[in-house]
Amino acid sequence: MTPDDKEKEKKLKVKAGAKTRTIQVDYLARVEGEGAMFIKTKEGKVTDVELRIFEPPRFFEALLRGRELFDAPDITARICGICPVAYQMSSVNAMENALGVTMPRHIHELRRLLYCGEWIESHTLHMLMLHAPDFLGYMDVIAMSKDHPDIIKRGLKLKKAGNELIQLLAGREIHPINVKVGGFYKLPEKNHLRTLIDPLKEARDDAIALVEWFNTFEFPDLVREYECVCLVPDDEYPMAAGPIGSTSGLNISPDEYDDHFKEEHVERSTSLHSTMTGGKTYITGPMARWNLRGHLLPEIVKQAAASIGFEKEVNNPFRMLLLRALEVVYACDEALRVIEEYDSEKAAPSVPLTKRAATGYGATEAPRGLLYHRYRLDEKGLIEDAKIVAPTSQNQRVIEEDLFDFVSQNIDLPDNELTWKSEQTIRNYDPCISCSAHFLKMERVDG
Amino acid sequence: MGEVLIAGIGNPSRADDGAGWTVIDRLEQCQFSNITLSKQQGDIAKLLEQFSSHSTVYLIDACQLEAPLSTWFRIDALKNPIPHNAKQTSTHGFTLSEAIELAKNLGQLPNKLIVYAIVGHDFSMHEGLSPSVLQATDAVYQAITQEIEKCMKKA
Repeated sequence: MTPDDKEKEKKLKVKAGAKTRTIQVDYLARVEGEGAMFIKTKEGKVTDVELRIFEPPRFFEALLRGRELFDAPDITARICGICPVAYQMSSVNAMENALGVTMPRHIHELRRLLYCGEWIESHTLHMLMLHAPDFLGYMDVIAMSKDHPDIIKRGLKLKKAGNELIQLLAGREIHPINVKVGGFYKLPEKNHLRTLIDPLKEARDDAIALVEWFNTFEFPDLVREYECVCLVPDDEYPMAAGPIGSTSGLNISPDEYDDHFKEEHVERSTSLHSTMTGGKTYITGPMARWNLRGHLLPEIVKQAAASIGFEKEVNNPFRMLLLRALEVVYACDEALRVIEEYDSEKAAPSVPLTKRAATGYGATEAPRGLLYHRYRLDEKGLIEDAKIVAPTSQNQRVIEEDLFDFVSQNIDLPDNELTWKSEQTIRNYDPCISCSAHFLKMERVDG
Repeated sequence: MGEVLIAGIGNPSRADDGAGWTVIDRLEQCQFSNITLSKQQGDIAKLLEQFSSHSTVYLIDACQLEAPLSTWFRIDALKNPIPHNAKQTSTHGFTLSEAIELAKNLGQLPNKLIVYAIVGHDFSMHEGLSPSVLQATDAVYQAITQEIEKCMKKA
């Protein structure tokens, strides 16, 4: 689809009247999922903003019932083609929790390495191909590539480094196949892993260059107070394991998640809304990780952040573009660390498991944020019940609140500009509502 | 730079979307020399890299279009635009026409780029092609082998 076609398909419709003004976008590119945005104003002030999601339910949780516990990583990986590793990691964590086994250090390290590959490819795709065009006023990356071909080439090389890491470690870059409950089917050979060192060093340099380039962008002014939620391990930047923590001091193990977070159905969305118990809105993803565990990042990331004067605590959601770039620097650097220290090719690829009736809980950090899985197993290892809470579901409420504040502060913008920037506000979260059509309808009702 | 790449794009777990891979499976039996065969799921970075590293590229992909059963098209993508899919399956993915357009802007197009598009009817979650699509893959297989053999004779 060419930018011109997209522009035509966007069909910006404006109805203006004494009391009612409606803006409708029939096709929203670069945000996944069916959605509509409704804005109501009274006497020039916003009184209500709703992000309406029409994601068709996919029934993965029901699909898992009655299946073997070992099927969970491969079935849940199919939920998303961009972050299948995240689904595999949270599912194996939960299953291993149910079976009462702890992974040896080399398995933990290799899972972290695999996750680095996913962060690199997922973040790079979003930053360069989907979000950066917003900041520069391009309809999409194809239009942007005419003026910035070298940047796009660099980004594609960076994404490739992530893909190659996943392919080498897990068989293929989309829906990897080497992860199993209890470890891996096969451990990589040291020499094979070391072939990735040079590409990852280049990728790390490319990511630092992206940080510098993004820093030249103009970021819309929106500052809010956030309740951040992410994994809060003591000794490493949040990724593949750890307790769950928050800005207000929560520190719980994943098996306490359901006591502190709840999902509710709201009429305007087929995707459940998550809040903290008591109804408090929270944010998960790069901003939460940075604000709660940024101090655990290695020196090279801290230097990249310091070189652009990046804030220690982020409270402007548009700055998540820069945060993702910094996390890519980290993922490249962390991957290099794991590869350089790897010396376990002769170790056991997995640990022995004994089936038992139990409930298991797992949480890891998908590129977009916290991904929680819970499974109840019977004594034969069959799944009786499953619960999966994706980051986009957790971020829906905070996206609405961002929109409310952003629109309130920019109510005087012309309709087309307000629509554009509202879409950009949504894209701050890289929402991923898989396998659904795309439809954002914005209505602004004055009256 | 490699000479000729023939890539099947698709996902065999989504019924007719596996058409491209099926043609590659058959071409693997031919043992053409100096031709790279590849099965892909459509990652744009990989596609662009392969565009820039081969002088001639043939792509075989399933498409959604209101058309009679067994329909397939041969499109010279450097001369004619690829019809845009009315429905993208994911905004995190890119359509083939977008990948080609991006490659053009980045100066990464091969000298020759031919797309064989096979009209699919069933993209639900199971393996195996519809009978009409299977028939179309046979026709595409014949067309590509003839095209390759012709090129080889010229060379």
